[in-house]
Amino acid sequence: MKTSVILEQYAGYSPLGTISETLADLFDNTSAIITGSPFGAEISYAPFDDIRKCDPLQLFTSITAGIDFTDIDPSQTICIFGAAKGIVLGIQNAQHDPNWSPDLFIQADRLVQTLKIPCSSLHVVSTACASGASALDCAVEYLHSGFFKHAIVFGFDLLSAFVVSGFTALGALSKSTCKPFDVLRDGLSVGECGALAVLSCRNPFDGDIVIAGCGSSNDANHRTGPSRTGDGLSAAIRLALTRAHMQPSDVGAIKCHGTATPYNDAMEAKALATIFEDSIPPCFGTKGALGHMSGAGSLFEVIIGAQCLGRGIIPPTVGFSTLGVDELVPVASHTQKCEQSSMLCLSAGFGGINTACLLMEYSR
Amino acid sequence: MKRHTFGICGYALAASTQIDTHASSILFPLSNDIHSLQRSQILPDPYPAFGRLTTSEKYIVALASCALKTTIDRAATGICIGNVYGSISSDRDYWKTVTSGFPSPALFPSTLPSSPAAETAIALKCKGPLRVFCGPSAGFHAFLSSLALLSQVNETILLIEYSKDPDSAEFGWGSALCLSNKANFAGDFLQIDSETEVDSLAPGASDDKLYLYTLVHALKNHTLFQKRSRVGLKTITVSLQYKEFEHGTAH
Repeated sequence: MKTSVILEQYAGYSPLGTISETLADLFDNTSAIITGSPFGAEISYAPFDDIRKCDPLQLFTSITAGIDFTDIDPSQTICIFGAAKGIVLGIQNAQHDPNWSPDLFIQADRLVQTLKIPCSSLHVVSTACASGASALDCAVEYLHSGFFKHAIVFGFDLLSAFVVSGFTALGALSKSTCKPFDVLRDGLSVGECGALAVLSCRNPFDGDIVIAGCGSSNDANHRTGPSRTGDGLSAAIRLALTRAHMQPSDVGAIKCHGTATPYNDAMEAKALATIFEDSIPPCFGTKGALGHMSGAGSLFEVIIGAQCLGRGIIPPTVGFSTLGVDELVPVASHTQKCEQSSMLCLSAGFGGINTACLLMEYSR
Repeated sequence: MKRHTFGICGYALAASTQIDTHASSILFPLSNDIHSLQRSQILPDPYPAFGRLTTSEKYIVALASCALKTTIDRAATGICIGNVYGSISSDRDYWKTVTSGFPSPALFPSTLPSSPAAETAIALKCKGPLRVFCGPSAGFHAFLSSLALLSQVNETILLIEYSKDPDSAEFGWGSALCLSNKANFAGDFLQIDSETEVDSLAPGASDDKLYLYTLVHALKNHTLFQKRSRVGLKTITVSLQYKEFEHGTAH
């Protein structure tokens, strides 16, 4: 039996609630996205119910309350924080909470100290909206290289006037619920989330979710727009497949990035067609239900992918109705069976970063 | 004990008060006088966007350009950056535009700590993996991540450490090192020895701050660089090996 990186435990909180609450709502085709003007301009957004009343530390403490760190030896554990902007409350409103510095390392260190997360080293990875997935990629590499036996990957990205004003200025936001891969898609809806995953390097048992391979690449094309060819994302997928020793035909389903911007979804469709040709596995996206939860969202979405893989089904893509990309991407509009025990989770971010993470349910 | 060797394909160094040139590197002042940096001095190819980059972006692109030799296959080159202070400076600049009532769409992307890495990838056409670390030991973390990437499938990594305190107009350091895992290299190289047994070196006992700057500084001056660091379950020893001492191909 080969030593593998196992997704041991996880927790998270999205605009639809905990992981299990989120999953139930995803299968019910429910969206947390609302419209309004929380920070000035009218936008579509998916907020936590109680975030404005709740201290981020308390919220993250409650998110991770179910995680059992008992068997984790700090000397054998690395902690990696992945976020795009994290909690930028400090810069926009010092009287709200001056302790929330925009410095990501200070934020991460504060969370680690407060939550008493056991680790001997804290790293902070920030690669825009792919931060959580990049942190996961780093963790897998560290575990494979034998530096650590456990890795705790976590992220937290909150909605704020800072973030919303930026996306509004860029003209990237939809005024209604976003529509991934749909012919009427016109931009993204913003969201927020917190997520934490505990990884271990050990021999797998039946039913374990294994991170079989990760890959990342850069478009080297534009600071905010994706490559028009999808070459960067397809390179990341290829790398993940190589590292997992898998073929495209081994992939059972795909959790897409699916921001619902015209260019992102078109790029993603091209990348999928490049790799899978005319046999693209069933695809789904979560942003029509949860909004774009930024860097931490890419970790949260991998956790959702793992949950779906464990159940052998994928949820409908909320907001999707009529395919609006040139390639025949089989976007799930209803709950579907996942025919094979593997799932590809994709994410991308400003600056052209692409990540691909291949999950596999282990069976002998 | 496991030993890895990685070839050094180029390097660059910047510090707050030094100006110098070297056969395979450029030292330039890292101060607020960013306008002294001209695109044509640094980048071999036109990059019209250079003028609108932030200070951090300009320096990191410049460092990377100086360290990346033209013979390298850029499409396969990855970038690992340790950006100690992240985007705090850009955050402040952008927030001023928000409070003035006109949020700047040009400044907003620069509020991501990864924006200098992205600009570097675009300017130099590097399409490999991209990693950005923040925090006091970010350069060391980027270094470790590079070793992990190089030991797998990537051939070349551009490794950059940048530390410019947003509250200080004067002091800053930057360094870049281009590492390759190609089997045949004849120049200077890095030797990495890792031991799985945990010795008396406590986690964090080694001085990881400005790790890369110290390494590249030694490389430029051909002086001894050997550092032991405890990384989780392993102790790694990183040492510079110079061409004149180790002739021929490294194995």
